[in-house]
Amino acid sequence: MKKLIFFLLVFISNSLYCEEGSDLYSFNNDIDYERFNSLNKELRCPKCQSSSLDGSNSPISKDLKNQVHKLILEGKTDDEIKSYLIARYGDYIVYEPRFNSTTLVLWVGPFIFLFLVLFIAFYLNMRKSKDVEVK
Amino acid sequence: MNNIVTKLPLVVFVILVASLFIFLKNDNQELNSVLIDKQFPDFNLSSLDKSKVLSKNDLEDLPFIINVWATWCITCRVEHPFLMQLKNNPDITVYGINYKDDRREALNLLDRTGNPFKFSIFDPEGRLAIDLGVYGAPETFLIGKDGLIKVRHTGALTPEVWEEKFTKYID
Repeated sequence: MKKLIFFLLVFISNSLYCEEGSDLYSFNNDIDYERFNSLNKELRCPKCQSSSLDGSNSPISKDLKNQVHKLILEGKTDDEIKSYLIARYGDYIVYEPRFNSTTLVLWVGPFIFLFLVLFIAFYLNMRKSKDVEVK
Repeated sequence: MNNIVTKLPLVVFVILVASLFIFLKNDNQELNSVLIDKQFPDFNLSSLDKSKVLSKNDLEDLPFIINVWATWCITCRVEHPFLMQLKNNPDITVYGINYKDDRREALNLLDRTGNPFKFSIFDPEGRLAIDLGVYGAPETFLIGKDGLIKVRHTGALTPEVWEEKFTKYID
Protein backbone atom coordinates (compact mmCIF):
# COMPACT_ATOMS: atom_id res chain seq x y z
CA MET A 1 0.00 0.00 0.00
CA LYS A 2 2.80 2.39 0.89
CA LYS A 3 4.43 1.64 -2.41
CA LEU A 4 1.22 2.39 -4.23
CA ILE A 5 0.87 5.76 -2.49
CA PHE A 6 4.46 6.53 -3.30
CA PHE A 7 3.95 5.82 -6.99
CA LEU A 8 0.74 7.82 -7.04
CA LEU A 9 2.55 10.77 -5.50
CA VAL A 10 5.35 10.52 -8.01
CA PHE A 11 2.81 10.33 -10.80
CA ILE A 12 0.85 13.36 -9.57
CA SER A 13 3.89 15.51 -8.93
CA ASN A 14 5.18 14.60 -12.36
CA SER A 15 1.97 15.67 -14.07
CA LEU A 16 1.93 18.90 -12.08
CA TYR A 17 5.42 19.58 -13.27
CA CYS A 18 4.36 19.08 -16.90
CA GLU A 19 1.40 21.42 -16.52
CA GLU A 20 3.65 24.25 -15.48
CA GLY A 21 4.94 24.95 -19.00
CA SER A 22 3.91 28.58 -19.38
CA ASP A 23 4.81 29.53 -15.82
CA LEU A 24 8.40 29.57 -17.00
CA TYR A 25 7.54 32.84 -18.70
CA SER A 26 7.02 35.97 -16.67
CA PHE A 27 4.68 38.78 -17.65
CA ASN A 28 3.89 42.27 -16.50
CA ASN A 29 0.25 41.46 -15.87
CA ASP A 30 -2.35 38.69 -15.97
CA ILE A 31 -3.86 39.86 -19.24
CA ASP A 32 -0.57 39.34 -21.07
CA TYR A 33 -0.28 35.93 -19.49
CA GLU A 34 -3.74 34.99 -20.77
CA ARG A 35 -2.90 36.38 -24.21
CA PHE A 36 0.27 34.29 -24.30
CA ASN A 37 -1.66 31.13 -23.49
CA SER A 38 -4.42 31.73 -26.00
CA LEU A 39 -1.99 32.74 -28.77
CA ASN A 40 -0.04 29.53 -28.24
CA LYS A 41 -3.26 27.59 -28.73
CA GLU A 42 -4.11 29.46 -31.96
CA LEU A 43 -0.64 29.04 -33.44
CA ARG A 44 0.45 25.83 -35.08
CA CYS A 45 3.77 24.08 -34.67
CA PRO A 46 5.48 24.15 -38.09
CA LYS A 47 7.32 20.90 -37.50
CA CYS A 48 4.58 18.68 -36.16
CA GLN A 49 1.62 19.74 -38.38
CA SER A 50 -1.18 18.64 -36.07
CA SER A 51 -0.42 20.29 -32.78
CA SER A 52 -0.40 23.83 -31.47
CA LEU A 53 2.67 25.56 -30.07
CA ASP A 54 1.06 25.03 -26.69
CA GLY A 55 0.85 21.27 -27.10
CA SER A 56 4.26 20.75 -28.64
CA ASN A 57 7.64 20.31 -27.07
CA SER A 58 9.64 20.38 -30.30
CA PRO A 59 12.59 22.78 -30.28
CA ILE A 60 11.07 25.04 -32.94
CA SER A 61 7.88 25.41 -30.88
CA LYS A 62 9.92 26.46 -27.88
CA ASP A 63 11.73 29.03 -30.00
CA LEU A 64 8.48 30.38 -31.38
CA LYS A 65 6.96 30.53 -27.88
CA ASN A 66 9.99 32.50 -26.74
CA GLN A 67 9.48 34.82 -29.68
CA VAL A 68 5.78 35.29 -28.88
CA HIS A 69 6.73 36.02 -25.27
CA LYS A 70 9.28 38.59 -26.40
CA LEU A 71 6.82 40.29 -28.75
CA ILE A 72 4.17 40.49 -26.01
CA LEU A 73 6.67 42.12 -23.67
CA GLU A 74 7.50 44.58 -26.46
CA GLY A 75 3.84 45.61 -26.40
CA LYS A 76 2.78 44.08 -29.73
CA THR A 77 -0.92 43.30 -30.24
CA ASP A 78 -2.21 39.78 -30.99
CA ASP A 79 -2.76 40.75 -34.63
CA GLU A 80 0.75 42.13 -34.98
CA ILE A 81 2.21 38.93 -33.52
CA LYS A 82 0.17 36.76 -35.90
CA SER A 83 1.18 38.90 -38.88
CA TYR A 84 4.80 38.66 -37.79
CA LEU A 85 4.64 34.86 -37.85
CA ILE A 86 2.57 34.64 -41.05
CA ALA A 87 5.17 36.81 -42.81
CA ARG A 88 7.77 34.17 -41.96
CA TYR A 89 5.94 30.85 -41.86
CA GLY A 90 2.90 31.51 -44.05
CA ASP A 91 -0.85 31.08 -43.45
CA TYR A 92 -0.07 27.61 -42.21
CA ILE A 93 1.11 28.89 -38.83
CA VAL A 94 -2.39 30.00 -37.72
CA TYR A 95 -5.17 27.48 -37.19
CA GLU A 96 -7.79 29.92 -38.39
CA PRO A 97 -6.59 31.01 -41.83
CA ARG A 98 -6.91 34.63 -42.87
CA PHE A 99 -9.28 35.71 -45.58
CA ASN A 100 -7.31 36.08 -48.82
CA SER A 101 -7.29 34.78 -52.38
CA THR A 102 -5.78 31.39 -51.50
CA THR A 103 -8.06 30.77 -48.53
CA LEU A 104 -11.19 32.08 -50.28
CA VAL A 105 -12.43 28.56 -51.12
CA LEU A 106 -12.09 27.52 -47.48
CA TRP A 107 -14.22 30.37 -46.24
CA VAL A 108 -16.82 30.67 -49.00
CA GLY A 109 -16.96 27.05 -50.21
CA PRO A 110 -19.25 25.68 -47.48
CA PHE A 111 -21.80 28.48 -48.05
CA ILE A 112 -21.82 27.84 -51.80
CA PHE A 113 -22.47 24.16 -51.13
CA LEU A 114 -25.24 24.97 -48.68
CA PHE A 115 -26.84 27.30 -51.20
CA LEU A 116 -26.62 24.67 -53.96
CA VAL A 117 -28.19 21.99 -51.79
CA LEU A 118 -31.05 24.27 -50.74
CA PHE A 119 -31.59 25.35 -54.33
CA ILE A 120 -31.74 21.78 -55.63
CA ALA A 121 -33.97 20.59 -52.82
CA PHE A 122 -36.33 23.52 -53.40
CA TYR A 123 -36.38 22.92 -57.18
CA LEU A 124 -37.07 19.20 -56.90
CA ASN A 125 -39.80 19.87 -54.38
CA MET A 126 -41.43 22.41 -56.69
CA ARG A 127 -41.39 19.96 -59.57
CA LYS A 128 -42.89 17.21 -57.49
CA SER A 129 -45.80 19.36 -56.38
CA LYS A 130 -46.33 20.46 -60.02
CA ASP A 131 -46.48 16.80 -61.07
CA VAL A 132 -49.07 16.17 -58.43
CA GLU A 133 -51.17 19.10 -59.65
CA VAL A 134 -51.06 17.88 -63.25
CA LYS A 135 -52.21 14.44 -62.24
CA MET B 1 -33.03 23.41 -67.30
CA ASN B 2 -34.62 20.37 -65.81
CA ASN B 3 -31.72 18.17 -66.80
CA ILE B 4 -29.04 20.53 -65.62
CA VAL B 5 -30.45 20.88 -62.13
CA THR B 6 -30.93 17.17 -61.51
CA LYS B 7 -27.42 16.46 -62.73
CA LEU B 8 -25.89 19.28 -60.73
CA PRO B 9 -25.12 17.17 -57.62
CA LEU B 10 -23.25 14.68 -59.78
CA VAL B 11 -21.23 17.43 -61.47
CA VAL B 12 -20.35 19.03 -58.13
CA PHE B 13 -19.38 15.65 -56.74
CA VAL B 14 -17.07 14.94 -59.66
CA ILE B 15 -15.41 18.35 -59.31
CA LEU B 16 -14.98 17.79 -55.57
CA VAL B 17 -13.38 14.37 -56.05
CA ALA B 18 -11.09 15.71 -58.77
CA SER B 19 -9.91 18.65 -56.68
CA LEU B 20 -9.36 16.50 -53.59
CA PHE B 21 -7.39 14.09 -55.73
CA ILE B 22 -5.14 16.89 -56.94
CA PHE B 23 -4.67 18.67 -53.61
CA LEU B 24 -4.17 15.59 -51.45
CA LYS B 25 -1.48 14.34 -53.78
CA ASN B 26 0.54 17.46 -53.06
CA ASP B 27 3.33 16.81 -50.63
CA ASN B 28 2.24 18.94 -47.70
CA GLN B 29 5.18 17.97 -45.52
CA GLU B 30 7.06 20.71 -47.25
CA LEU B 31 5.65 24.13 -46.50
CA ASN B 32 5.86 26.69 -49.24
CA SER B 33 8.00 29.54 -48.19
CA VAL B 34 6.30 32.92 -48.09
CA LEU B 35 9.73 34.44 -48.51
CA ILE B 36 10.10 33.56 -52.19
CA ASP B 37 11.00 36.71 -54.13
CA LYS B 38 11.55 38.63 -50.89
CA GLN B 39 14.74 40.22 -49.60
CA PHE B 40 17.03 38.23 -47.36
CA PRO B 41 16.29 39.35 -43.76
CA ASP B 42 18.64 41.66 -41.87
CA PHE B 43 20.72 40.18 -39.09
CA ASN B 44 23.59 40.94 -36.76
CA LEU B 45 25.36 37.81 -35.58
CA SER B 46 28.91 36.69 -35.04
CA SER B 47 30.72 34.38 -37.41
CA LEU B 48 31.17 30.78 -36.28
CA ASP B 49 34.94 31.27 -35.96
CA LYS B 50 34.27 34.40 -33.83
CA SER B 51 36.47 36.47 -36.17
CA LYS B 52 33.85 39.14 -36.82
CA VAL B 53 30.28 40.35 -36.52
CA LEU B 54 28.35 39.62 -39.69
CA SER B 55 25.42 41.40 -41.28
CA LYS B 56 23.46 41.05 -44.51
CA ASN B 57 26.10 43.10 -46.37
CA ASP B 58 28.66 40.36 -45.83
CA LEU B 59 26.66 38.02 -48.05
CA GLU B 60 28.02 39.81 -51.09
CA ASP B 61 28.71 37.15 -53.73
CA LEU B 62 25.50 36.80 -55.74
CA PRO B 63 24.07 34.33 -56.51
CA PHE B 64 24.61 32.26 -53.39
CA ILE B 65 23.11 29.44 -51.40
CA ILE B 66 22.89 29.53 -47.64
CA ASN B 67 22.65 26.23 -45.81
CA VAL B 68 21.18 25.80 -42.31
CA TRP B 69 23.22 23.13 -40.53
CA ALA B 70 24.16 21.79 -37.10
CA THR B 71 26.30 19.07 -35.58
CA TRP B 72 23.19 17.42 -34.07
CA CYS B 73 21.61 17.18 -37.51
CA ILE B 74 22.17 13.78 -39.09
CA THR B 75 20.79 14.61 -42.54
CA CYS B 76 23.32 17.46 -42.73
CA ARG B 77 26.06 14.85 -42.90
CA VAL B 78 24.33 13.20 -45.83
CA GLU B 79 24.44 16.38 -47.88
CA HIS B 80 27.91 17.41 -46.73
CA PRO B 81 29.84 15.73 -49.60
CA PHE B 82 27.62 17.48 -52.14
CA LEU B 83 28.19 20.85 -50.45
CA MET B 84 31.93 20.18 -50.70
CA GLN B 85 31.44 19.68 -54.43
CA LEU B 86 29.51 22.93 -54.74
CA LYS B 87 32.34 24.75 -53.02
CA ASN B 88 34.38 24.18 -56.19
CA ASN B 89 31.60 25.44 -58.45
CA PRO B 90 32.66 28.92 -59.65
CA ASP B 91 29.07 29.98 -60.43
CA ILE B 92 27.81 29.86 -56.86
CA THR B 93 28.98 30.78 -53.35
CA VAL B 94 28.06 28.65 -50.35
CA TYR B 95 27.40 30.27 -46.97
CA GLY B 96 26.27 28.49 -43.82
CA ILE B 97 24.05 29.22 -40.83
CA ASN B 98 25.13 27.18 -37.84
CA TYR B 99 21.74 26.63 -36.20
CA LYS B 100 21.25 26.16 -32.43
CA ASP B 101 24.58 24.49 -31.95
CA ASP B 102 27.67 24.45 -29.81
CA ARG B 103 30.42 26.61 -31.29
CA ARG B 104 33.31 24.34 -30.40
CA GLU B 105 31.65 21.15 -31.59
CA ALA B 106 30.68 22.83 -34.84
CA LEU B 107 34.23 24.04 -35.51
CA ASN B 108 35.53 20.57 -34.66
CA LEU B 109 33.21 18.94 -37.15
CA LEU B 110 34.29 21.32 -39.93
CA ASP B 111 37.94 20.62 -39.09
CA ARG B 112 37.42 16.89 -39.32
CA THR B 113 35.15 16.62 -42.35
CA GLY B 114 35.98 19.75 -44.34
CA ASN B 115 34.41 23.19 -44.51
CA PRO B 116 32.21 23.79 -47.57
CA PHE B 117 31.23 27.31 -46.46
CA LYS B 118 32.84 30.63 -47.27
CA PHE B 119 31.81 31.39 -43.71
CA SER B 120 29.11 30.28 -41.28
CA ILE B 121 26.88 32.61 -39.32
CA PHE B 122 26.60 31.49 -35.69
CA ASP B 123 22.91 31.50 -34.71
CA PRO B 124 22.65 29.68 -31.36
CA GLU B 125 19.15 30.98 -30.54
CA GLY B 126 17.75 30.54 -34.03
CA ARG B 127 16.93 34.23 -34.41
CA LEU B 128 17.91 34.57 -38.08
CA ALA B 129 16.34 31.14 -38.60
CA ILE B 130 12.95 32.40 -37.39
CA ASP B 131 13.19 35.35 -39.78
CA LEU B 132 13.75 32.83 -42.58
CA GLY B 133 10.82 30.65 -41.50
CA VAL B 134 13.17 27.77 -40.73
CA TYR B 135 11.70 24.91 -38.69
CA GLY B 136 14.49 22.35 -38.77
CA ALA B 137 17.80 21.46 -40.30
CA PRO B 138 18.99 21.08 -42.96
CA GLU B 139 17.38 23.78 -45.04
CA THR B 140 18.90 25.50 -48.03
CA PHE B 141 18.00 28.85 -49.60
CA LEU B 142 19.10 30.16 -52.95
CA ILE B 143 19.47 33.91 -53.36
CA GLY B 144 19.50 34.97 -56.99
CA LYS B 145 21.52 37.60 -58.83
CA ASP B 146 18.88 40.22 -57.99
CA GLY B 147 19.40 39.58 -54.25
CA LEU B 148 15.98 38.00 -53.77
CA ILE B 149 15.25 34.56 -52.27
CA LYS B 150 14.47 32.19 -55.14
CA VAL B 151 14.40 28.69 -53.65
CA ARG B 152 13.79 27.22 -50.26
CA HIS B 153 14.54 23.53 -49.83
CA THR B 154 14.00 21.52 -46.64
CA GLY B 155 15.89 18.27 -46.19
CA ALA B 156 19.09 17.01 -47.73
CA LEU B 157 20.46 18.81 -50.77
CA THR B 158 21.23 16.12 -53.34
CA PRO B 159 22.48 16.41 -56.94
CA GLU B 160 18.94 15.51 -58.11
CA VAL B 161 17.32 18.27 -56.06
CA TRP B 162 20.02 20.65 -57.25
CA GLU B 163 19.25 19.88 -60.92
CA GLU B 164 15.53 20.10 -60.43
CA LYS B 165 15.17 23.19 -58.26
CA PHE B 166 18.36 25.23 -58.20
CA THR B 167 20.24 25.20 -61.50
CA LYS B 168 17.67 27.25 -63.38
CA TYR B 169 18.60 30.30 -61.30
CA ILE B 170 22.32 29.98 -61.97
CA ASP B 171 24.11 30.33 -65.28
